[in-house]
Amino acid sequence: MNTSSKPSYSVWLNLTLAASGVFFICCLLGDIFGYSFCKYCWDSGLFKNDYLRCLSFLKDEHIRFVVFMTCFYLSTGITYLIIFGVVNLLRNIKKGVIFDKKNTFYMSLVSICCFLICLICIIGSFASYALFFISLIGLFVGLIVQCVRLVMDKAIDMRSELDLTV
Amino acid sequence: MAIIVNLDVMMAKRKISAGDLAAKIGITPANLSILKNQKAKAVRFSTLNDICQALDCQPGDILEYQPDEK
Repeated sequence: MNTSSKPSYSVWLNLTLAASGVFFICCLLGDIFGYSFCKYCWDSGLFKNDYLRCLSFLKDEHIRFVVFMTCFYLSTGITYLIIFGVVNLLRNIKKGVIFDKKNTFYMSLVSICCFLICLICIIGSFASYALFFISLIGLFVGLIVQCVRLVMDKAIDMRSELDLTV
Repeated sequence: MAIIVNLDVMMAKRKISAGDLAAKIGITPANLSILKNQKAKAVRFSTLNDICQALDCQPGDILEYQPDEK
């Protein structure tokens, strides 16, 4: 059965593409207004959580804020790569190219980016424990995407074997 | 690969063209070409049965095992 001919399939595909666009805009807004927003939240005590007290240089609140903002901007930079991977993946699906090695490459890209965000946020969590939860989310999403990629890789191998069965 | 398909040898012996054999056993000429050019990864028993019937031969006449060179 061809799922692409179902109207709900193309609706969901277009909605997912639109959601990726919304994420891109959010990321762009985050890059533009991120500093002011984070500064406001930091000053009001929202992100000003506990920190790793054994690292003496983190006693300075300004340094902790700089570490926090560095993690923020590094993560948004990597998020662009994730959005690039997701959009290309969805465009390939829209074209009907599903069992293709390019798609597994995009999935690898997304999962590696998630692991990188996880690593950055773990380092950042020394300055603010709030980032630790973001690193957990990054790790979880990265693992899920990696699992789907492995399944897809195997499916591509099985498909090519089936194509060459006479 | 260790399994060699000698289909072209048997076809030459029986003096049958690829198109005729494909039509006789009910597979596409493209699939027969995959089989002839050692590109196939698997052969269905039903296809093997049809080939043996069409060429009046045994599976061993078509398939041959050659150990891989190390």
